[in-house]
Amino acid sequence: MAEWPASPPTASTRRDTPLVGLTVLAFACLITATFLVGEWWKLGVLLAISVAWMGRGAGRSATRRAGTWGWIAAGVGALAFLLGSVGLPVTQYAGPVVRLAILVMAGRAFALSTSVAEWRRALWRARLPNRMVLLFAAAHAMTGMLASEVRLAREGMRIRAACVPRKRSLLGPARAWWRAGVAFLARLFIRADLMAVAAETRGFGRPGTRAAAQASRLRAADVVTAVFCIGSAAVLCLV
Amino acid sequence: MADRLRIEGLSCQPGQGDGFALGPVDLAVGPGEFVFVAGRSGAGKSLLARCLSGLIPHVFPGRAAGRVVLAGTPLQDLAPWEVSQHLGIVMQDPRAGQFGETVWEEVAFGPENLGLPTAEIARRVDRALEATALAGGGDWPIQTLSLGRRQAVAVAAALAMRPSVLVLDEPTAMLDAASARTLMDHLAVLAAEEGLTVIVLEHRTRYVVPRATRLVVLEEGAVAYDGKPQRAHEPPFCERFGLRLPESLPRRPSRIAPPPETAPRVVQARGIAYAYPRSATVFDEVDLDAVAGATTVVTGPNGSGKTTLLKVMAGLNRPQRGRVRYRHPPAESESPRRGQVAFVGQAPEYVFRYGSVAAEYASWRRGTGTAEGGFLEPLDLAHLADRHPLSLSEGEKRRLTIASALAAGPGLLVLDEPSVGFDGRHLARLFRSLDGYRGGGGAVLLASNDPDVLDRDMPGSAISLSPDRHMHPQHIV
Repeated sequence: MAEWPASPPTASTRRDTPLVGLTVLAFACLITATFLVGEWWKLGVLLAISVAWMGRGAGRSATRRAGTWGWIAAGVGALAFLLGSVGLPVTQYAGPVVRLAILVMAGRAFALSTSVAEWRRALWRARLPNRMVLLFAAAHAMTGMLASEVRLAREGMRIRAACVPRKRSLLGPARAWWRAGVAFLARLFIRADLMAVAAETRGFGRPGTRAAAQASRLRAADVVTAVFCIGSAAVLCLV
Repeated sequence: MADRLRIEGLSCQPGQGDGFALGPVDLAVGPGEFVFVAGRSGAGKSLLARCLSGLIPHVFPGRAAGRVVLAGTPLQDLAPWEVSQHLGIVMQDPRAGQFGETVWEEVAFGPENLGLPTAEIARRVDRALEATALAGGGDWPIQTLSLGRRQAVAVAAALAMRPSVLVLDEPTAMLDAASARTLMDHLAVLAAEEGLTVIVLEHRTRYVVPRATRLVVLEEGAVAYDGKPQRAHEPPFCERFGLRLPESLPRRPSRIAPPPETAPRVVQARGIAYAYPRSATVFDEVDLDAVAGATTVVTGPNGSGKTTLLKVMAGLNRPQRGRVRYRHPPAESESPRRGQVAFVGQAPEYVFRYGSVAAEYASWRRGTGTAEGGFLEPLDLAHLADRHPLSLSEGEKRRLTIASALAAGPGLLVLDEPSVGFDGRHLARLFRSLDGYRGGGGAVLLASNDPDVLDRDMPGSAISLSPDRHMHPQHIV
């Protein structure tokens, strides 16, 4: 039988050692606890998450590097730490921005340092109600889909900008954004529809409990990361 | 031989329109048959696939009449998840519905949904991977695979449901020649050795005809021919049903001279290199010219970097090294804001902004001086003027984007896999439109791995990309 044309070898999902993750997380928790004595502790959490994330990626992982945003967040956190420590009212002005940044950072840190697929498998395996796990799985799938939709929509806007003649009017840009927004939502619905169709044609609508073929054991580091990221983000939003 | 699949008076209408766009269709297919369903764009092929799998009316809105009986069981009485155990369907774009991170997870998704025992799931997945030559690739992350392999994963995922009938909607549309042949070979083996009934709906006849055992041609929603597949390569037959004829315009390298050195360069790239963040280099040290009045064809297997190169040339991606220069000042009579580069990508719907084909086309045309409706008629879109662009078929969406781009009158027209969803008639119309555009001094940069495109006689040059990241420039057409 014919073989598929050769392609570059692909790496299987990599896992860094639990030791690295746990050590860095312990360090991060220590920093967070230190910050709790001051008004500016919220800003310090940003630094803590960034450091934890970057440290966790300092293992052997090629896909869990901190990246540009990690360094920016770490820089912002460090700057806030310095300004706060000399008594400047940083949180008063930067509070909302920092909360948003922390939410994004926490989500990204969780997504990049934890195998979401393993979480999903573990949840399926836990025999929780299908609908509950479906929410998690759908949120995961939709996040990826949304990111790809945004990228393609931006590309579409650039293609039009390079070619379509512009109308000189005050309302022109507003109309263009409105149309782009409507088209974006319409495509999103179509994509979601196609995904639902693909799921239906593979037996997803079957009533009853779903099976989980691959055993999945979450590592302590994964659980600690998740609790830390989600917990700190939740606390920051509520306090 | 008992019929595996029997279609009795099947009629179907998507949405809420009156009458039926498909049918009545009567067909009986036996075990082990490899059926090639051909026909013009809009003849009802995809609609037939959706009706067969029960997606209309269970998932997509629409009306269906008649019966589909699979091994004695009427499918209309079953829910989609029950149908999935008898009849598998593989969509045109393998990226549309993938749920796993690795190949193994993706193929196991269906059997897991059925709640099967773990050992049975593992058995099914391993067997499906073996049947599609993916054994040993269970750990591959899906996002890193080429389109060809992703299509194979989609077939494996359908096979893991143990269907007795497998329906594939344009499975080779995005594949290079080697991947398309491999996929068809595997399907032919599954049909011949395991008795799987395979139904392939395709425009690229050259891959299916040698392996199919039966040809069914749909014309305006009804079966117009049911017989030997070899007829799909007879010129009068192709002409009558608008099918692609592979041998129609063979490439003749000896007759066509390379573009003259004096011809104006519309876009000139020198020493360009590109790499995605945290990824290997896609290409390096590339020199490429788009010449006025000529076509530059970029070829290469899936994953060789054709699309990336086109995006760099179109200014959508910035090269890490080297420079791309645009040199096509408009003539005095033309608007100075005339578009410079028009890019028609693999996902054309992302440029649509208006609620009808006519309005969308007009938004590109406005101010460029192009005659009203100028490219809608040549590309067979005039009758669709009131339709919403997002409701069009893949081929129609692509034709609308190409017509719009041509109407904007760019100096360079960049086309990425423009022939997806095109039947023979529309392919001929596309080339006539491109001839006219080139005749007016436009340059075309075109990437494709469709042999029906590459075999055309196009004045210009060609370069091939290979997975070893080297370019092979050649003046072959």
